[in-house]
Amino acid sequence: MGLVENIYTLKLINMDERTHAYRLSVEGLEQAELVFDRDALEVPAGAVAELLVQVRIDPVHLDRPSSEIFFILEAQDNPDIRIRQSGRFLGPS
Amino acid sequence: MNQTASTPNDREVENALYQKRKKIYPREVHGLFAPRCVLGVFVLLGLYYVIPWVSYEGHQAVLFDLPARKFHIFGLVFWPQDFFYLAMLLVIAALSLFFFTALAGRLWCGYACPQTVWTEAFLWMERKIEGDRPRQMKLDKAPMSLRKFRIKATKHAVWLAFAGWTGFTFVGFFTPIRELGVSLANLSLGPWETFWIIFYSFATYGNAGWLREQVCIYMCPYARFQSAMFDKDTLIISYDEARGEPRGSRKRSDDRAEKGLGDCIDCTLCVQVCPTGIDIRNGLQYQCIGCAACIDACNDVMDKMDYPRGLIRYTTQNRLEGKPVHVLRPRTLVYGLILLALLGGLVYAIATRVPVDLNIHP
Ligand code: SF4
Ligand code: SF4
Repeated sequence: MGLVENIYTLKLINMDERTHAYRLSVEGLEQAELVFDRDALEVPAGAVAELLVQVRIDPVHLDRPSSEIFFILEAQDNPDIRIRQSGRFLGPS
Repeated sequence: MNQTASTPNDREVENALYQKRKKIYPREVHGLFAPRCVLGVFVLLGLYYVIPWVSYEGHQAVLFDLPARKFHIFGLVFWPQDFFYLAMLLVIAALSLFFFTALAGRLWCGYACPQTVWTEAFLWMERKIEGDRPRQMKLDKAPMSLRKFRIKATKHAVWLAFAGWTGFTFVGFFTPIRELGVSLANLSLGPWETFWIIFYSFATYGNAGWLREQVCIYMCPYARFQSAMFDKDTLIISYDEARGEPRGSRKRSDDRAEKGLGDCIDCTLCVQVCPTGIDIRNGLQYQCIGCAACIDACNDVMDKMDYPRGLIRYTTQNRLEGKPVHVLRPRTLVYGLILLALLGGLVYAIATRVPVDLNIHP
């Protein structure tokens, strides 16, 4: 069997007064791979960005039908601007 | 001023509603509290008129940008997502009102309420134009003449100009004020801006110029419920009945003990200075906004008579009854502690606020 893939729409809002370039990563599921074509995402001050990302994993690493996954967004120029948000990763049914 | 006393008060208001309002001409006061009050007026009005003009890092420092749904407060920008902070701020504001009311009565009304502050400013202009209390009364009694018309017209023109500036400043908190000034000069204001400037100007002119104490007596909700937060240890402004009665006029050289009089010389100055037109000697009344004008007026009289000051003073019901006073009591302690905790929480939350938000939709 191949890899399991989940698709997420992320909406991110830059609530700061200046433009930031953000890096996105995932945590919480060992071996999970984030498919996202850019390595940094630039969002102007006060703007909203919507992005489509995929997360892939080999189902052997999944022990539950639904597991928790965390998305981490961090500004490249300021590690204090960091947010960790949880989502669900659904395994094959 | 407890619940049982509220029924006759209500009836009084009802009666008063059907009476024609007697115009009140507050006499100017000087004394211990008046300068503090003036200072408060200056600081608060100054803040109000100056803040929209302050810039910070190239933009207006305080701007509540409603169309863009962004609230700028110096370096911080708040979004609708930050509603939590606003809610917390409102809770803190309400709780501070409770706390200070329990502690010191209507501090808010006398020193910080916009109604009082703007009324003070309008009274000041009136005094500069029409003269002091006796002159104002004489002018109002006089038949219409060119002179009376000129004085009254000047007063209203000055009031309206000040009110217009107030309305303009108000809108300047919501649209960049410099651009607003340019549009005003070009007569190219938008319909909403025009509406709000005019609305707010007339509200200021009407409330501070015409309605004055009636706002406190008939319209203000705080005036209605504040007595529920009073207890016998709350700081109030009160006339010392035991010391003052029996009141009566006398010569300065008279020996009051011989004449069987108390310290009150019945000069009614305390009534004349009162912006709400009440007689504090009738006891604590819900109309009293705690402005301390009567304290200053009476202290002056006491000085002239060589009597000790403080016939009218800040005191508490317990002290007047000769009982011990508790500043720290369960009510103030609880309000105070919750207030501190919330304030700490808000400061912490804002200090650690992350200016990015992420929403995940599978
Ligand atoms: S100002 Fe003082 S002395 Fe004069 S009437 Fe009032 S309480 Fe009496
Ligand atoms: S009674 Fe005294 S403190 Fe109360 S509103 Fe009148 S002048 Fe002010």
